[in-house]
Amino acid sequence: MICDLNVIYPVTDFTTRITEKDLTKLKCGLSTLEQLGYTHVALNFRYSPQLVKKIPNNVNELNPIDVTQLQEFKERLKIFTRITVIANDTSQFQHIAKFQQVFDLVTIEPTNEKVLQTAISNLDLDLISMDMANRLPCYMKHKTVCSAVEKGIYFEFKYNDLINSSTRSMTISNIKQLIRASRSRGMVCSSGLDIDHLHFVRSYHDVVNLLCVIGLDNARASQLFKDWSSKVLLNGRLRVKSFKQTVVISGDDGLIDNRLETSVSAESKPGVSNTKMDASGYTHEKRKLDLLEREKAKLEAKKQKL
Amino acid sequence: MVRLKSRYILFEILYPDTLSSPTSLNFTTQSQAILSLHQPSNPTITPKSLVQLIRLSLAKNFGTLGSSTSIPLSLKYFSHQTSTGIIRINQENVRLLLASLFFITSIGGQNCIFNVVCVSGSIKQCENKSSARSRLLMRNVQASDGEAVGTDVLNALFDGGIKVPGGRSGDDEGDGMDGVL
Repeated sequence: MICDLNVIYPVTDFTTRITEKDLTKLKCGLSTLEQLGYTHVALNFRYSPQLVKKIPNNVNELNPIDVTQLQEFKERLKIFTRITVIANDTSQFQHIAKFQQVFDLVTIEPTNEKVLQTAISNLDLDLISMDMANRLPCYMKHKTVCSAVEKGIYFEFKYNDLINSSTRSMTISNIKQLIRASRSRGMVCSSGLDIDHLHFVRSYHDVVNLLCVIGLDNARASQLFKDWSSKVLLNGRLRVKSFKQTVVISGDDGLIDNRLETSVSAESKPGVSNTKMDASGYTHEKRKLDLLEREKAKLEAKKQKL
Repeated sequence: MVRLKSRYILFEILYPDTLSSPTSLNFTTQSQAILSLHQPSNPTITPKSLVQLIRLSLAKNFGTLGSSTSIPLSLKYFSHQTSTGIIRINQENVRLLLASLFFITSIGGQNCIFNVVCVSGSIKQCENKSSARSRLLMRNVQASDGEAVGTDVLNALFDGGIKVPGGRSGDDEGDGMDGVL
């Protein structure tokens, strides 16, 4: 499984819905990713608390990403949802717990050192996304970064910024800082694909090679897309859609996406999707029947005794 | 006696903008996505201009030292129909060349993605890989779509028939690399 955890969903507000035109472009981007060999893709909703003040109270209306609109990719890609909170103050963390119920991945993009420190020490996050196109908010300390990685919070950077020639040098310098601070562990690289720049996406082999030129060893660089990315996804699943620390996987390529879960929950509780649920819906048909028959037999045995 | 070692890079050029531009329904099935990404290249793109583009990217991103690595660079093969090509370069400079391909975003005024398919020590391996890949793509096209539609579009694309793997070797001899074959 090769993951791309950052495809920007072209919506800036919780209440607005994606336009037809943007949806077409997004689908183009997804099919390009598919052709380049990616299997797991996370759609990223970027939320900045300064611009969007109002958050819907109802948990079910919280997720603006509608996976059901992407029916074409049912068998082709595994699609997840993600939120990135662009935080410049610790007071903006209050809604994180709410987001964790709805999104598969919860990410913070800190804009100053204090936010970064608090996020690492207090919050239960999956990823910390760093804006590599601009100067980093603070000097990346080994202690800070490694304590996050040990907790299971990984750092993300986008190769989108590398392809854009105006931000290239700054991005390379920042990535080098991150590699040094994290001792080349616990990083995730994603495309940051934006619907206006569909050609800013590369196959992961090319990115791995470029990271080798920058100064990361080959094995670690490919882990950025495989092991560590899938660990982040698994973490998110364990937080939201698990039952006693168990998640559902498929036999061929790892984690399954929301599609099955939403359909199962729609069966049992119509109108509710993306909520916490247990894995009982996945029991095999035959096994279900077996269980029923066994229970029936038990009941009959009881009756006969009476 | 130490042999001069070289690497052959098989790449393909993908055009993501064609996914939405002529009609807006070029991604609904896998076959449509494959067909619209693998467009034939503009005939104005010559092997010379392609090499120039790569040299430019090397010079821009890696400076004088990078440019020096492009002296032994040569384009061994390029097909406009399938937008695939093979580059030969010294073994030690492979990573720089691949990085410079990574940074190229447009060719002949069209947005593109340079996708490196394989890097190998002999041109034979590259050719095998290329034909295997086109066969795989064909299979995907036919598997995910009704055969009739898929082959029709393909015939239009490749000028009468499925000649991608076979047609390649004939072209290559014309390029003056029969010694390697």
